[in-house]
Amino acid sequence: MKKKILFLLLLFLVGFQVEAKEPTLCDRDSLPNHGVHKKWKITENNLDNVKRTPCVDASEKIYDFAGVLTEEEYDALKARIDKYIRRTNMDFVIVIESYPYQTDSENEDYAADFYDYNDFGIEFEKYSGTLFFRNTYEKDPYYDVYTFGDAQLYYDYDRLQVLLDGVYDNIHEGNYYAGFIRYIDYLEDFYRQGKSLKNYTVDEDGYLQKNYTYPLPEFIVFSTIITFIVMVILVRKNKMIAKAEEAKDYLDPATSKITHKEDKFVSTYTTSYRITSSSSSGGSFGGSFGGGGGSFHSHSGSSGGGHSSGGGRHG
Amino acid sequence: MDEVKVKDEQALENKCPSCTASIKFNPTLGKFKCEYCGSVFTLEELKKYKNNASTDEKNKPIEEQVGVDDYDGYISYKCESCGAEIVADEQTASTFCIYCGNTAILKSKLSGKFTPSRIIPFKNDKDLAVETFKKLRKGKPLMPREFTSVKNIERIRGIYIPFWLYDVNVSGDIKMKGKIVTTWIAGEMHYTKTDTYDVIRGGNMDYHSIPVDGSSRFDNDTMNTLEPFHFEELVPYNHAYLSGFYAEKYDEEGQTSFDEAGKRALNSTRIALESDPKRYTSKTIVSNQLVATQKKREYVLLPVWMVNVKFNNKMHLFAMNGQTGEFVGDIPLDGKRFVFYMILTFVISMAVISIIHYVCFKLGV
Repeated sequence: MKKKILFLLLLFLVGFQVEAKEPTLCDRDSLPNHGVHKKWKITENNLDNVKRTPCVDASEKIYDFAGVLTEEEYDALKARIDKYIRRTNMDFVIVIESYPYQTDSENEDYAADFYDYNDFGIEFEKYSGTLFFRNTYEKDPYYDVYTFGDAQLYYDYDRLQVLLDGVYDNIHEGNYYAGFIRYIDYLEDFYRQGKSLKNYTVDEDGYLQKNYTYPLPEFIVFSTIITFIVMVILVRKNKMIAKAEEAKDYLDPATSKITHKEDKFVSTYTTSYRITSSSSSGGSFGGSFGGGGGSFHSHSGSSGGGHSSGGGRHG
Repeated sequence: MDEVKVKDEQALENKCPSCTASIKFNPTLGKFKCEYCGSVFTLEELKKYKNNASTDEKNKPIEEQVGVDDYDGYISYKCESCGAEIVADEQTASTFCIYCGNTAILKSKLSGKFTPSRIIPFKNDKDLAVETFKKLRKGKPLMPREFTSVKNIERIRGIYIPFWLYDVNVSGDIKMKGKIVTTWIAGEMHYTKTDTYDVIRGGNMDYHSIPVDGSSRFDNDTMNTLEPFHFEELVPYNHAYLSGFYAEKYDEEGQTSFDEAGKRALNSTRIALESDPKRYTSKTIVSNQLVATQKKREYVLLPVWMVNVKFNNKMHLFAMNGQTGEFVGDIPLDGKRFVFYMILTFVISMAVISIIHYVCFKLGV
């Protein structure tokens, strides 16, 4: 009987531990520079953001504040994430939290600050990495993927749309483990395909910069036309002989006049067409959920570097 | 060479009243100057001395004067100065004796119906033609570098070219379809309204002294390009003005010549009438009933310097208005320079557009 009770107690304890793994938090106020080890300067403008941002151990990678993953799932996921990081040389973060918000941009600010003011990507050039933010806020659950540093070049807006749609069912239905595995699969697949923003680079502050591309064929056509016009003008300078077609220099204005003017209205007609609007509505992704417009241009966070996002999904 | 059959006539030349040497018209002085004794005379003074060429005596028409029918279009003259034979063709009215170099004015060529009523005497001289030719290079990068070298000038001749001056009246109507197109936007709709009108404009326009080259030997377009001549400087014709210059008589007249003047007058009238109604967006002429009528015709001699240039074994003809100095002619293209400028233009164009594109990119424009 005692053995049975001990077994049940052990099972209970094990079961309790399996249900959730709390992220390790640190106290920013007790740390130098509020625990920020990146190059961002902490000023009055961003101090509140820094303080508001949870201070976490960047090596954990999965921050399940909502307690949706079991420890087994956590471990399996962590192993997969470590493999992904080794393969891509870019950081990887999952944040799950119930974070009350009014607008989608609040989710983005939270996620960007979470990445910027913790040590994510610090061992990689330009702090490259991705952050999957699942907001389990009951009133309006939301999720989106945010990319930082060179990750913006591999996972552009179009690829993120595929990814966000691809994991929607799992995330929406609460199958987070399956959803995250699928998410990693997508990232690895896209990484294998190479950079999708080939004409862009990321600057030191993490902002996308369009590369200079030289439109050679267009310039050749343009210069050929200019050359033709110039050569015609130059050739004409050598041709001074011109046929006289008019005699206006010999007109006697004193005796010349217009003797008859008649303007008779004949007909009129009106045609019309509808003006098509040039601005199309952006970003709706089907009936089951709506999404933000999104863009592949870098967003500036509240303080840190630039980043990109997929536009997010509600549900 | 085949034997040339010629008619015999007497050539005229101006004699200096002081020394009886040959005397020529000096364009820069506007008077006659003897190159031997340096005396200068006006036309009136020459007339007083009953100079051979300057008298106002009108000869009979040439067809009455000569009764020879078996000749090949060449006529021989006897030089008054040295007695040598001068042979000239039918159109030549004034030439030079190849032996003594004196001007031979073939008076019969400019007599009767070939007598010009007025003449604009030369106002500029041969030196100006040479200088102007040398300056042609300016602003013409495709011209061969050596083209304007004086050594290329084969011959420069001051020639009085026969011109017809036509007074033309043009009258009549042109009918047009005029369209007024207005566009506006109301809400999401874009509207285009087209009003069509029958437009008539009639006019009566007079043109004075439209010049038409009367010699088939000279290219009409070249002569047209020499315009304008200042006809207020026309003076009554006198043979004496021809001294020192070549002269031609007309061989083109009648309808062909008038057609040229009429066509120009008709064009100008049509343009004036067509451009009168301003309010139309577009106009299309549906009928043109303008008629050109010759009101007056005058036969004059106008001064032109003809410059023959030989370059790379090809002859190029230039002409300079003997009154205004307007210099015209087609200049040959230098193939190498053409290619060089073509490449240069292309490279500069590429460089400029590239720099602009790059700067715009950097400025985020």
